[in-house]
Amino acid sequence: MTGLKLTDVSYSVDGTQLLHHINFAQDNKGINAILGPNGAGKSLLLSLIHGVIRPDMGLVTWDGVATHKNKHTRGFVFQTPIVLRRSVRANLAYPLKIIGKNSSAAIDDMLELSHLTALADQPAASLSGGEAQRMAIARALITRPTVLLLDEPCSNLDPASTKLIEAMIRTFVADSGSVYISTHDLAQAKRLADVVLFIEAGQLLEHKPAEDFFATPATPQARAYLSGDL
Amino acid sequence: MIRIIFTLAMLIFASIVQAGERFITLASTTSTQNSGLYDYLLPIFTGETGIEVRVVAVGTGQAIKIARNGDADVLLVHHRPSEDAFVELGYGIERRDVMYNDFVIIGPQSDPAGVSKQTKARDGLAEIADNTALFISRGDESGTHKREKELWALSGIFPQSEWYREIGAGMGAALNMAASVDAYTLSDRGTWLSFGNKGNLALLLSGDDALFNPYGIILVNPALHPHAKTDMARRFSDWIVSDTAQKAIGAFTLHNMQLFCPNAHPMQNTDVICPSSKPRN
Amino acid sequence: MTILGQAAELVLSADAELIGIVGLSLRVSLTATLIASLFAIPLGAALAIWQFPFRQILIVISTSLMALPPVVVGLIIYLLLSRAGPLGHYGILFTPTAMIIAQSVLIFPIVLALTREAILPLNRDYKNLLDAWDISPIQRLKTLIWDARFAVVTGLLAGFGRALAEVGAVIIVGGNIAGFTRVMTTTIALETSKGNLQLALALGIVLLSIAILINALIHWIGSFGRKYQVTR
Ligand SMILES: Nc1ncnc2c1ncn2[C@@H]1O[C@H](COP(=O)(O)OP(=O)(O)OP(=O)(O)O)[C@@H](O)[C@H]1O
Ligand SMILES: [Mg+2]
Repeated sequence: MTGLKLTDVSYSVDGTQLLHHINFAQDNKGINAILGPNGAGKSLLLSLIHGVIRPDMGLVTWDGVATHKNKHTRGFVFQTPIVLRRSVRANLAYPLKIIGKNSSAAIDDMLELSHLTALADQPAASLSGGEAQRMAIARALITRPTVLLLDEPCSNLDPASTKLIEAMIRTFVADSGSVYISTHDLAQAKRLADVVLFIEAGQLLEHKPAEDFFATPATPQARAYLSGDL
Repeated sequence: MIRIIFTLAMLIFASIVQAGERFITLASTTSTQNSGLYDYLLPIFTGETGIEVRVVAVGTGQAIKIARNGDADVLLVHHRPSEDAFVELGYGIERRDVMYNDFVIIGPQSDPAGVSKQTKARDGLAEIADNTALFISRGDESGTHKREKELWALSGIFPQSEWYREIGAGMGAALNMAASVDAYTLSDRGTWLSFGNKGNLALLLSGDDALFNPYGIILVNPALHPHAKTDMARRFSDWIVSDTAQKAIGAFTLHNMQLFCPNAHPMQNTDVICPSSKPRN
Repeated sequence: MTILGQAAELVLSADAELIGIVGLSLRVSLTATLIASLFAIPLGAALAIWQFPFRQILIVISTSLMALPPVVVGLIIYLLLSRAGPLGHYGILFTPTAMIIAQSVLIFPIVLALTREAILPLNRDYKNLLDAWDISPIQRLKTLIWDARFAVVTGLLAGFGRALAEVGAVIIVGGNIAGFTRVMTTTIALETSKGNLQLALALGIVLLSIAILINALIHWIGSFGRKYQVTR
């Protein structure tokens, strides 16, 4: 039993159901794009499959293990970057410390890779939105996870940074990692995605190879979304 | 940061490892403490014996409670009836006379009640009551307060009106208040002489036998409080009634005034002592 | 001679007794602050981070404890430590240790409340991020306390200031014994009772100077900490 599996997952807050009976399974490979309009539940779904929040019904497993028990094998990046009130370098050092490693070489490499070397000793709180997002991605990658979960990682980024992040994602996948990424940038989704998960109003409506989804969306909601009417 | 924590930890350690065991705790009164007698007397004792004396100075009533609970090893106070009761009830042993001085009536220099014309304390108090002049009472069950109540009883007056103010505080606080509102009060001579904020106050009446103020020393009963350092306390008690200490007490002066008259052995030490065995003006 | 002049003279003459008194004040209050913080900081942080049974009750109690008059604290500790009390056999009444205990109790709710206030907003920022990692409760506690350390230290210094300025509790449990348990505030009380108002005020000014120093420190730490604060 490999990969991610959601069994009848529902999530609600204060009696309002926000995700409805989600079921799907996905192998640990390639890039999976989570698409859907604002408020569809993409961020919630990502949080659920990583175990940041717990479903009030159903089960999320990775390789057969409950999701909250193996978070260290994955890296997670929030839609709005959350920075620790420390230097950029200390932000990268933190997850390493949690898993009991301490490698300043790895940190230097990662700073280099995400073009943050010059800002390494700045307080992370003083970074610009895009810089903070690059740092958050670097911080998720530094523990060498096998899965990367990215919630609109390029929403704040300039074209060069977007290109940089996409390259980082491709390298990660080439090293046999798998990625779940939510995005509103359809061009980006087309460039990157192997598989699309389309959700709307808390329901998983489509789960299929990206070419199929973009060529022949099955549901009216997906068609409306792609044509900019939803 | 770590260095700060370490330093603080050392401080804790230092405060737990207290100085040696060669000390006794003396429960006594503010009147003796504030006069400076202990600052003068105790170093002599410590020098001779190596025993440190830690003085907790409170009102006589409170001092007796501290001793009764076993929180002191020896008691030096000035209220004979309470002292006798303390021994009788088995809380203390080996009471001895140490010294005496006297109480004095203090009041505004202008003396609106005419207290200074009287020679008896009870008549002075009666004048204060008749004139409804302000009177500050300590109201703290100290030796002075107890004596004050006895004097009122002697005068046949039960002070209760608006001019009579119980403040529930020490001698110094009572004098401070008397100075600021031009009131009368009863003080021991020692505290009065050493008091630094006399303002318009003056000594108006003294020398009455009823104002005699003897101090006694009592050991806390080790049968009741086995932890009490009775041996060292007894050495202190023996010492304070010895010729050396008695002479030292007689020689202690403040502003060139003798404050206490030693009377441990009234017959023997006539050479040092006060002109008469009675309180002087 | 003016009181200020006398205060300055007191400080400049730096006689052994005054140094001893100031030293003991600092030692007792610093130790009390440290001991109180050892318990109050983790508990305050825990109250900010986790929901657990009796949490609200704990918060209400600890906030109310801040209003407890020092004399009452002193009296309770006195009764506990007296030979006649339950902890009497340790014989620590009328020692600096007793004063440290009393001040620790006094400071505890202050440090607790201020720590909680410092951690609450930070935890709102951090919660999701920390939830995305496998992180033990202890690690979470340490992270939040460390990253809020400037605000936490401010609370600590506030507690220290309260301890240093407090007289009601230490005079009861310490006994104001010369050279042993006499601290600045009890000396001031004593000198006032002796009618030495000038000297008392001069000592008060020395105490005030220490307080000003502490507050300057709080301010400085605060402005230093703001550098790392999230402003967006
Ligand atoms: N804690 C919460 N309490 C109440 N409602 C919430 C909560 N979190 C999310 N929601 C609601 O759940 C729905 C899905 O939220 P989610 O953040 O997953 O949307 P999204 O698909 O990521 O949208 P976007 O594209 O804008 O990021 C939204 O309507 C949101 O208002
Ligand atoms: Mg979202």
